[in-house]
Amino acid sequence: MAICPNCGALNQAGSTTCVQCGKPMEVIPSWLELLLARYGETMPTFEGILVKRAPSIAPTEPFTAQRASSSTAQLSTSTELEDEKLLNEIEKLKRSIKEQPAETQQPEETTVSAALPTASKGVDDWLAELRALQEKAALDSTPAMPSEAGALEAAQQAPYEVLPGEEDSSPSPEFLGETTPSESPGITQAGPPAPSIEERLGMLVTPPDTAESVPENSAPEWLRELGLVQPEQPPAPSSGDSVQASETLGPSPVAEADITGEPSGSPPDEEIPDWLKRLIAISSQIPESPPPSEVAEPMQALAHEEAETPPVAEPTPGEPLPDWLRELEAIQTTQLSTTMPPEGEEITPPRFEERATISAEEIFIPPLPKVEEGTVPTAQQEEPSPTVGEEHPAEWLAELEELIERPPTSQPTPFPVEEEVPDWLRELAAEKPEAKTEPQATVAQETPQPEPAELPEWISQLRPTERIAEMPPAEPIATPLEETAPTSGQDVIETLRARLGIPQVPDVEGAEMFHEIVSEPAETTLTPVLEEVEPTPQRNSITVIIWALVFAAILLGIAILSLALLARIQEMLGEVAFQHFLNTPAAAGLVASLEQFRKPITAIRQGDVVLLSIDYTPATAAEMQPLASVVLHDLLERRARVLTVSLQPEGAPLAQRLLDETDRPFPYGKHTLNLGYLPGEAIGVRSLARLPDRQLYAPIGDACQSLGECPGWHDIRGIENVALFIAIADSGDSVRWWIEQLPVLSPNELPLLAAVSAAALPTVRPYLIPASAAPSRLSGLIGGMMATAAYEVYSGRPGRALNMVAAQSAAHLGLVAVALAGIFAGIRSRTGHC
Amino acid sequence: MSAETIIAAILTFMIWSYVLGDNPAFRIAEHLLVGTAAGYVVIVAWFHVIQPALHEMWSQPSLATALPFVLCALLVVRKWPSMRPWAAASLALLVGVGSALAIGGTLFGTLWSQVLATASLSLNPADFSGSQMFLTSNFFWQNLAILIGTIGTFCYFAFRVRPGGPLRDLRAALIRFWSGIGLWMIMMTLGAFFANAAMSRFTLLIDRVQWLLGIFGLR
Repeated sequence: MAICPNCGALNQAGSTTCVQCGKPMEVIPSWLELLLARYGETMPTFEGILVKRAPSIAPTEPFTAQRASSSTAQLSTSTELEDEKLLNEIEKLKRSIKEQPAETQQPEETTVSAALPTASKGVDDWLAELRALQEKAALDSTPAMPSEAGALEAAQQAPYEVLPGEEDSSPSPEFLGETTPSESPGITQAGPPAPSIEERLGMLVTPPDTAESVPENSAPEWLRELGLVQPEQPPAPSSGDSVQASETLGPSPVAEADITGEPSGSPPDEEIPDWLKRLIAISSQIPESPPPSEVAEPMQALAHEEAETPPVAEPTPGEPLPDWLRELEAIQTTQLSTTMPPEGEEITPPRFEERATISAEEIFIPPLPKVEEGTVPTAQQEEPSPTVGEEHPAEWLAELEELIERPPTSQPTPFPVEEEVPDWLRELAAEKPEAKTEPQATVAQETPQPEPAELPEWISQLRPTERIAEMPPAEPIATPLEETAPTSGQDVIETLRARLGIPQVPDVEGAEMFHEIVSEPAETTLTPVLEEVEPTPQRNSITVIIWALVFAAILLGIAILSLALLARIQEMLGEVAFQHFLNTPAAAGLVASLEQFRKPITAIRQGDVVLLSIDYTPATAAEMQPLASVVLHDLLERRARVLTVSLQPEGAPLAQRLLDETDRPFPYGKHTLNLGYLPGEAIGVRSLARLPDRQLYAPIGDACQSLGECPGWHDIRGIENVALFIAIADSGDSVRWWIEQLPVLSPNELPLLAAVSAAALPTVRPYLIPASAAPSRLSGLIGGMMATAAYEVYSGRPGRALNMVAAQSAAHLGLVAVALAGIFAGIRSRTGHC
Repeated sequence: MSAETIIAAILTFMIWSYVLGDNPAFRIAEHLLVGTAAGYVVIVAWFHVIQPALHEMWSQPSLATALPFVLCALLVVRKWPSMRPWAAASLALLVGVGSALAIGGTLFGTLWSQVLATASLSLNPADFSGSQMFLTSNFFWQNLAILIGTIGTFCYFAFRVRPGGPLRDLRAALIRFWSGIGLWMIMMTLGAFFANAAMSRFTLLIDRVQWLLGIFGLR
């Protein structure tokens, strides 16, 4: 069904006149159909409007069709007469173009643009064909759209082939690019006839009612403000028609040159092909700019700045748009084209689909304005009506504005749950707003704010005036700084969290830890500072002496107290008590090892040679000297001859001291000799292979420098003449060297005994192996002060070891007490932790 | 009281002053001990090693008596890089002879004897004065402790390779069990070492205190 736009009555679809009022039904203007087909859009179905589709070509069909169909009351007879005159002028113009050589020849049936500039055909034929097609189009209502689309696409591409100056034109706004004065020189040098023709053509092509009916939102807001579709302004008295043409065609450098009075080398207007003029007229009839009241000032300012600034920064149609803007355009085009069928999308630039998305409401045809209003369409003077299509650009433009002008601010994070927030944190949170406002306001006033980057003019045009007007006034200075611009990483994190919608989880544990850290170092940091500040007292010699005397007095006091205790301890743990201890089963192991040690000694016969190795140092002499002394006395009492050696440099003098102690009953040189130090450790043991050649540590005159020279020792030819070997060592290494090297040195069964310190006893004990089990030379081992005391008891010669037994026993008891205390302390600490 | 006794007593107190912390008195005594020990070693080496060898070489010149000094001279010339290959001869002799003696003595004096000794340990009751008395024999328990300690220590230092095969779990459990025993054995051994070392040092302290008491007539 079709609705009459005049009376609103329902009519049959396809009816040309209204059955109610008798007035003809409105038809879709051919220029709109041409545009839709050109940009690949299918014709929407409009109720109440007769869709009169023009044939694929018919460049003048919109003119005539519009004239034939627009029989509204607003069209006056004078206007029709003027149109007829204009057509005559067109014919004259075409005749003048007739002499020009054709640059391209296109099939007449397929393209419109090819038919117009073809010079081979006469203008009369062309006009005749146009008229025939016009009449045919008036009768034919539904031609095939695909053919139209293809034909109009060819018509779109034709100017690029014809005009040499358009090779480098960008794909952005194409129909504007086609009509850019710089690329079509004929426009810039438009003489007085050219503007009049364009005006008249524009009036013919686009009925004033259609110009009014097409809402401003048919083209997106941003496109209009970008300057790609310039609003038509009233012609200034001084600018003339050329200025009007430039404004109609949008910003172009050449037009600006005209405005500024710069000469241009454009060809005359007669060289403009008709198809180009028609396209110019078609493009000029689309009212898509906001009312002059809104755009007048920015556009005038822009025109003024364009005249001053180089055209590089201008968004000329031939200049490629930024990628982000293209994406935004694509998004906008997709939003706008949702009402359109997908046909022809692949051949249509998405930007111009907006022009084809005119809904039925937007096609409302108001009364045709008067021709005198002419140059300025009525729709451009009216306020833009809010339509559905306008809302989408407003939304994305608002978002774009917010992204550019106002960075995303952090949303107020929810305060932690009441139960999870400690009191101090709640107090801090309560004090925070009052505490933060003033300093930040001061910072906002004092600190120089970073200057915003200068936006290009064409981006500045993106800002809608109504948005600016709706923007709230400037924020007060006391506004927190982080709400306007992120100044720190925390602000960025908060902003991202707010944008991503991540809830802020109250980190109570972390806050407590932070509070603890913040509160504690205040005490700890002060202490070392005080310690550093505190001057250290200078210790002079008097102070050192005083402290040394105090220390000595303390030691003497301890010694005097110990004497009182030692007397009692001596009675309890002394010689007598130790002898009782040796008779108990607890001392069975000690007694057994002692008997095993003394067994080879007791087997020594008078005159046998015993090699005694003194392998300890003065550091351990207090422990080893009693042991060596008791062993030496036991050997000498059995009338053995003792030779002493040492694998350590300090051992030779210590051995000499031992021998000197026994010098009176057993003179040195006769019963004892000191062979001194054997260098080389394990290798030194092998040096005993030349035993008779060993130099004495303490030679006895000139006659006894070596062992072989001393009288009474001539029978010693080697190590094989030694009956017993005893190692008295404070470390296990010396004993091990003897154990490892002596069997190789003396193949016979030379018994080996070891008397070591308590520290070396565990190391040497594994070598105490029964002769039946392994071929080891170590047949006896004793060690420590207790074994020495037991040896003294068994030898019947009480000595220093037996005197130290009481102190040693007291030390043992003390160590046991300390060990038990440590064990209990450890258990208590563990149970306390548990 | 002699001067050396007084000096010895003073040096003893200086060393003991370390109980109050590091101080110059302790440092002086410490440096005296180290210096005199090093000086004494040098004197011993000269008078009891180098001088007799020189006297022997001088009195009986031969290759055997001169070779040690040649080797010593080669060690000295090692300071100059061009002569270092010659010094390698001395070093090779020292390292070769020392390694040969050490390896031979270790293999046959320590390792082999220890293996034989451990392998000869008997837990047979018949070897302990009758089948009913072996539980009361110290040697029985001693041998048992040695065996358990040796096996456990070996297992503790066993490579922890993931066992395979059908009995891998049993093997892993055994290794883990004996490793625990070995760990305890090692701990007890180290404890015995520490206790004996402590007793040895207590003996030295007691002797020194008794000596001080003796020289001051307090004992």
